[in-house]
Order: sequence, then structure tokens, then C-alpha cells
Amino acid sequence: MNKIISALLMAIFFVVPAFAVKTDSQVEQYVDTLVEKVSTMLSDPAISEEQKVKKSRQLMAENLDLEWMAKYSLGRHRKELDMPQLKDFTKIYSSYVIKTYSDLVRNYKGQKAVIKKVSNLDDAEYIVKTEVIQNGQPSIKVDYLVRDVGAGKGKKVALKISDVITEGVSIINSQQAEFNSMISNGGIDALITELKKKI
Amino acid sequence: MKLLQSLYILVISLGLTANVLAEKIQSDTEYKNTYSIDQDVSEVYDPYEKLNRKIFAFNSTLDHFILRPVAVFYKNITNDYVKARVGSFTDNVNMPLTVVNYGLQLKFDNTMKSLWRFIINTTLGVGGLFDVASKFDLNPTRQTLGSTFARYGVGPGPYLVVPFFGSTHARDVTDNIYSNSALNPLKYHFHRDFKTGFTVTKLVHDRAIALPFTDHITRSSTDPYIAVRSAIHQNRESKIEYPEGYEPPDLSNP
Repeated sequence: MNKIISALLMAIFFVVPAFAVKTDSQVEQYVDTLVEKVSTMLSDPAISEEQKVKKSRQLMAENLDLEWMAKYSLGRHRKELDMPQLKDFTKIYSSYVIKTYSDLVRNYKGQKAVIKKVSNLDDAEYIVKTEVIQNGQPSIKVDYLVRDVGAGKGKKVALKISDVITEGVSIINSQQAEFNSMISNGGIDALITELKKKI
Repeated sequence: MKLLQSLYILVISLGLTANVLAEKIQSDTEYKNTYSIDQDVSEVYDPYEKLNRKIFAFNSTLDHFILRPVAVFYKNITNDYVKARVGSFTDNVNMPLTVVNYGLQLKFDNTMKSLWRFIINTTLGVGGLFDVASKFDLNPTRQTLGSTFARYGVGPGPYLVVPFFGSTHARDVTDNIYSNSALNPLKYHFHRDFKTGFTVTKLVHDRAIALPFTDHITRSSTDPYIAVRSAIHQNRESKIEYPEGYEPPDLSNP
């Protein structure tokens, strides 16, 4: 009898964390595959720089949760926009992000990313900590916010990257600060005009 | 006897789960309270924005005409090998600052770690030219007097842009101006010319390292002042350790 009880207790205590680990490893695998894909593409000498920029644009469009990022970057001003405006903004925001960040590919010089840790923020939010090792320079800490876009809608697990945090500096939080000051001074139209200039 | 055994197992498994939970909670504190879509992240406290913007424009002009061109020149004439040696050397000279500050924070482990890093890199790393210690996982976060203040519960305070020195917070304002060299015992033994040379080298090297970042801001930012302010704030706060139970002041209702 005692054996059964202890076995049950063991089962309860060990199985519960095991469930969490399952999704964690899924997230890790997702980031790992993506990092692998990007670094093979970038270090392939047969592909020209223009081609690399083009390919990374495609990868960003597929893997970034641009709709959510657009909403987040608006912060408290999001509620001031109606549906068509929000849609319009999301479209311009997406091309802005893809344009400005795909250009960074040109700085690539054989850096390698190593996954350090995956942790769970919320039911469907994970942080994947990586370290970018570069030749002869101190390594850079890059964390990814990975969200399960399918969660809550009864859909399958659909992981997307929703933020990239480099040495503590988050893309969407910086954008929120910038956009916030822009909207406070000139309204959403001023922001959209400004973003269009950068595309 | 069997009862004792199962009790024993229970205690162990409880301990294990508690461990797992504790680890999880600890690892998440860094990002707690972020990423709620209905709530803005706390903004930077910037009561002197008008004045700051003017000094920022002044500093940017200075940077554009003097420091940036020199940094670009340095970047172009040196290869990765030279840059790595310069980077390791300047970092090693500044290591005693971290040792002293960890000491002031009464963090014995990190004081020893940074001291060992300095000793190993100075000897095995040929005067700090090579970073050997990182291979032994001796790579503590760099500390300044500002970090020590934070450790005792001092918040960042207002954001300040200082002419010539750049952007910082009130808590960290002495770092670059005075305390980074005053609290570094090594700096008292340098000849004045070496000190000047060292300062200039470090300035140019650091500026060259930051080039991709600043160029990205110039190219893509809608408001460089806010972009720099936000980046400096986030980066600094990510490297700071507050005492347990520290709550950042509520800025929405000052």
C-alpha cells in the first residue's frame, strides 16, 4: 500500500514539471532550427549580399509576429485607433521593421549563436536566451521572446518570435517609447508619414 | 519502516519540485511585468527633456564631426586581431574598478571572480592583451559606483545628457566623469601621458564598437533622442542588480 502511495506521489511530483519541459524543448527546437537556418544562409559564400537581404526579409515575414508587435509598439495609443487605421498601421509597421532590420544582415561577420536557456514567462510566452559569439570580441546576449500564437484559440502550437532583446534592449519596447513621443506630438498621421520615409 | 521510506521519498520529491519551482521563478524575474499589451512599460523619468535635447544635439554634432570620423578611421585601419587586443587590454585595465565595487557591495564571490580574472589576464594574458579568463568562465558583469549605489537601493533617477560625456542617469552620473578612474587603484600608478593615451584609445575603440548600433539608429529611428534614451536606460537597467524587494518608483503619478 505504502509503495503504491509513494509511487503515486512520485508520479505527481515528477510528471507535472515534465509537462512544462515538453513545450520548453519545443520552443528551444524552434529557435535552434531558425538560428541554424539563418547562419547557414548567411555564411554561404555562394549567395550574394543582396540575395541574403532578400532571403532574410522572407524569413522575418514568416517568423515575426508582426501583427502583435505592431499593436504592442503603439502602447496606450492603440485604443485611439479604429480598425482600418490599425490595419493600415500594421501594414506600414511590418514593412518598416522588415526593411530596417534586414539591412543589418550586411554587418554579418561569421558570428555564431548558442542557446543558453529557455524559460517560461506565461502559459504561451517563452524567453530563449542566446549568446552571440563573435570573433575576438566579447559575446553579446540576445534573448528572444517566443509566443505561441495558436494558444487560446484552440489551434495547434504555432510559435513566432515577438521580440528580440539585445543586451537588455528590447526592440518593441524601444519602438513603443519612440512611437509614443511621436504620437503625443503629432498624432498617428505624423508617425505613419515618418515611418513611410524610412521604408 | 516502509512508512518511513515513503515519507523519505515524499520529502525528497517535495524538495526537488521546490527546487525546480524556485529556479523557474528566479529565472523569470528579469522579464516580469514586461510584455503586457494593455500596459505601457515604465517610461524613462526625464524631467529635463528640453535641456537634454539641446545638449544631445550639441553632443551629436561633436560626434558627427570629430569622434565618429576618427572611430571610422580606426575601424578601417585595424583588423579584427588588433581590435580584439585593444578591447581586452582596455577591459583588463578597468577590471580593478569592478573588483573594488564588488567589494563595496560585500559580494565576496564576485569580488574574487573579478580579482582572479584580472590576475589571470594580466599574467597568462600578457598584460591583458589576451582574454584567457573568459575560457574559465570568469566573466563577471562590469561594475561601477552607480552599480554599487543600485545594490543599496538607489533608483536611476532623472535621465541626464552631460555635455561631452553623453547620456546617463543621475545615479550613474559620476561614473564616466570621475569615479571610474578614482575607484580604480591601478590608475594612481599611471604616468599622466599613459593615462591620456589610454583614455583616448578606449574612447575611440568603444565608439568604433558602437558604430553599427548608432548607424542603425540614424538610419531607422523616427526620433534619435528617444531611441538613445530608451536604449541607454534598458541596457543599464539590465546590468544593474537591485536589493531584494526593490520596487521601481511609479512614474505615471509622480
